[in-house]
Amino acid sequence: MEDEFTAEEALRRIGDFERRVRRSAGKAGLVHLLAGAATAAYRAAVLLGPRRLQFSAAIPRGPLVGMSARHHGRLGARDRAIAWATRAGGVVHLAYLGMTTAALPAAVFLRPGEPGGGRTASAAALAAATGLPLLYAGGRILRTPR
Amino acid sequence: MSGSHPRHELDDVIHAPVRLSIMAALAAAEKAEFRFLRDTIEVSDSLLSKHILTLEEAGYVEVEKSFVGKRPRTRLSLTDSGRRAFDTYVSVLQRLMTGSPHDRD
Repeated sequence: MEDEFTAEEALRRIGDFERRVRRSAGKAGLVHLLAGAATAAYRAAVLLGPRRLQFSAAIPRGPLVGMSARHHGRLGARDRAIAWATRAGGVVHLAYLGMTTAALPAAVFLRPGEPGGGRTASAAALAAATGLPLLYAGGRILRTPR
Repeated sequence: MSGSHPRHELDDVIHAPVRLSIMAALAAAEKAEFRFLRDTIEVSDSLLSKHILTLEEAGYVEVEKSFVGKRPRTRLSLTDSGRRAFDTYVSVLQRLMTGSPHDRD
């Protein structure tokens, strides 16, 4: 592997590695989008669904969170956008934690079907908001020029 | 040999297949894991370590070692000087490919 190589081969090799890193980054972006959509769907089920749906929604959530964490842990290459999105204590993590924390009391107080107009709309907005940090991070990772 | 041909400007530290692969991967990513580089470049741990050491000694690569639980994790990134050296190397390659008039100065 230590043979002489031409400028053309060197440039081809550089392009090849850029593509591999791009592929890895693309996967990380998609995982963020999937996690964001799953989070919003889960929160919507918890805040708006019947009691039975709340419990059944929690079943696939555990493995999904586990798979997402495992993917991030095993991510081989991180560019600037991925490093920003996955930084512990970073803006994405804090926003996600903030939204999740806000959703906890909401699960108690914003029950649909109870008196008081706008509760269902508020719950739906909060459910969508809990997924937003991850959706935004996924979009930003995918949009970053590489 | 006057040494004016752009090929003489190619950085010998980078201009070796394994080291170029490491630099190219790190230039595209902010940080890369040792494991990712080894699997992507398809070399043994020892060969990769040897070339990383060369790049580290040249001041091009920064090595960050940590533990995740009990498992060691090695992350690599380009230093500012490594990124500059890589950009220069790529521009020399492009000049070699296009054969710009500047080559014949």
